[in-house]
Amino acid sequence: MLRKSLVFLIALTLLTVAGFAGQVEVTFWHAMSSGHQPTLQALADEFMQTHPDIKITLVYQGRYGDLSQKLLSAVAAGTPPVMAQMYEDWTMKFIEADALLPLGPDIPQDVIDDIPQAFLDSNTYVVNGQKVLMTVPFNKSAMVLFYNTDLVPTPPKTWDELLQMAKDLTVDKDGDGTPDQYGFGIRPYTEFFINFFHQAGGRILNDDMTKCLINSPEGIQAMEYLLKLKQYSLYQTSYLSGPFGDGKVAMYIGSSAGTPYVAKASEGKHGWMTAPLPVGPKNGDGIIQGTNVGVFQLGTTQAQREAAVEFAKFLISKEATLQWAEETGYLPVRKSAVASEEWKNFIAKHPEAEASGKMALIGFVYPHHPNMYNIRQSIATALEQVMLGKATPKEALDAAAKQIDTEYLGE
Amino acid sequence: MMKRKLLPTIDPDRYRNVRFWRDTAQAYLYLLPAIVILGTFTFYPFIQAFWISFYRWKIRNPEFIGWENYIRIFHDDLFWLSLWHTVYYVLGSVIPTMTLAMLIAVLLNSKIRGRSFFRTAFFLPYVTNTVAASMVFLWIYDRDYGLLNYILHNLFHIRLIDWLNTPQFAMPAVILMGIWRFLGFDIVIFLAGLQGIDKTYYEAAEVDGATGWARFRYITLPLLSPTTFFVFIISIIGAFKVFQEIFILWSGPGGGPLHAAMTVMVYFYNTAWGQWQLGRGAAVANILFVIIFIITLIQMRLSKRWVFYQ
Repeated sequence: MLRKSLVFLIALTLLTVAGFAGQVEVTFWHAMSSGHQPTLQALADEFMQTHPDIKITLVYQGRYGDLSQKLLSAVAAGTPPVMAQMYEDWTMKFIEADALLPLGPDIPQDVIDDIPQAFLDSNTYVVNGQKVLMTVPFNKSAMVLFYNTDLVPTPPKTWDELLQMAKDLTVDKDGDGTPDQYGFGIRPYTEFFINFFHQAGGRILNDDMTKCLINSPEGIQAMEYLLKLKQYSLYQTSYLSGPFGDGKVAMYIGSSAGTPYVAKASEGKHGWMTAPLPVGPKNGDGIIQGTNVGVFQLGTTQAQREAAVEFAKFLISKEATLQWAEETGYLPVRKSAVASEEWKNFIAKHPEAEASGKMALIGFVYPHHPNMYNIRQSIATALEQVMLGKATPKEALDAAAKQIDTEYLGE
Repeated sequence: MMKRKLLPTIDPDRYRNVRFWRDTAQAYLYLLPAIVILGTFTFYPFIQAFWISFYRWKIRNPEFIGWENYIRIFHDDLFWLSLWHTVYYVLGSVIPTMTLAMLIAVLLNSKIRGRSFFRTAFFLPYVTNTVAASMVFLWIYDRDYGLLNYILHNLFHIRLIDWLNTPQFAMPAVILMGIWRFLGFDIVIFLAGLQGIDKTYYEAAEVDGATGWARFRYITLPLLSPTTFFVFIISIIGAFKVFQEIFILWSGPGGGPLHAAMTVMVYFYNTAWGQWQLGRGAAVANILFVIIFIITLIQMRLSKRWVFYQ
């Protein structure tokens, strides 16, 4: 059904294109809901003003899950849109299907040099033995520490400080045996653990991606640290912005994309701010999340592809990325943008955006392996086992590494 | 010549009859819309799902791998875990829901005030959007602010339970929500069944001096059995496909804390749309189909012993 309606939709689009003779229509599938859509539309409008021969049609396809299903079906049917937002693991499938146009060759070297390394890593894939920049960074977010300024005057700078502050801020006010206020909050998802793992100096996979290194001493060190931190943490599987807003959790680590939710939850209750992550034994890096933008060579015309590449280049221009970052809270994708006077002025008015801008420059991303989804799930399971006391850090990580080695790296 | 036909006899020469072909063509014409819709949206995907379960799905160029998808599923501990959780859910939700529904239906069937109000009230959960209901249940199950813990803790002095974050409470949480959701549907069907029972049976029983329990046991229960059977089959099939509640309660296809609420449908979603292994996902769906099919066959067979048609 989906495939049929897509074919119909695309046929309709093509007919419309034929109607505007001389104007190239570029359909852009995205998952930016009502909050961010006006900004995206404004950027498209600006682009169209300077490119009267190009018409950018933004198509909201629902949330990421919906977008992934629709893109998958459309590519399978040979009728994808001209461009779309995409996560790394989807991108790998599209590359495998030979559906994507590599964008690297069309982007000037000085622009590439101006993109933070983590964003380049996120968009670079090995295609036929060559490293190729396939897509461009779009709505990126970094991990930051959210803290309640009524309880935490200065944020912790290191793991030790974080642990100590979490301990001091965990209080059982009514004396019923369970704390009413926790120093920290833990939600057991892979990226949360990977930050600590990376900061301990760990790497998920070896260089040629044939062996999982999650059960290394660094992995055990990170897990043991989290086990200590858990004593002073509210532990839950749902988002922490709620308990943070209620003052139940004094600090937590989360994606900068959650900033609006923190603001809303804390409004009228207490002050809050963001800070770069507390630094671990080896570094203070944080994982970068969010999608990139790719252009399909499958089922598109030369003119459409060229127009789409122009729009992709526009989206990563310093001006556009600044506008995008300031209005949505995502990260600017250019070093020059983070260093610009305009961004400094913006930070002065919105100090909560400063930490993520800093984290963007020291970020890292997952290695690009086609089974990364499964690998992440195995790691999340290990984290949950340890946090729930079902296994020791070594047992859980050994089991995860074994599963990853035998089931996901062998293929 | 004017002999009345008791049974329709089949005319051996009917294929030579023009009228037969005209009638047949006409019948198919009436059936055409249904055939087209069912064919496109039910039978074609069904055959396709069977077909792609033998492929490693690579979007554009699927690769035939025979039974490998099935073999890998059977070797996956998580699949067996999800199957066990599904059975747990089916047993835990269907029997209590049906017992409760029958009880309430019998009460509602007696002449009480505000019957239509109760009927609507009980039916409301069934027509409520699952996603919206799940959001409410997220609050009900909250450890500190939730309604359920408030009642259990303050009225019964039970320790605060972290429903959604403790593996052993994850499935009970889903079951409770399932009971709440499907109770109304079962009640309405049971009510319809009850109203179909001829009043004269009860009148005759009363003349004979049968007690309320005897009337229920020897009239209501047997005569309601076709309805009970229908509800039973529908509920079992529905329960095997439990998905939405879990997907919303734990935002995504992870299946709750340590996969404690991973059911076969969630496992299917995770395989097909999380990992993008459409071939293997189709294999999971086919396995579920076979399981439900066999269980339904067993139910049909057993039903001959306890279902009475008037």
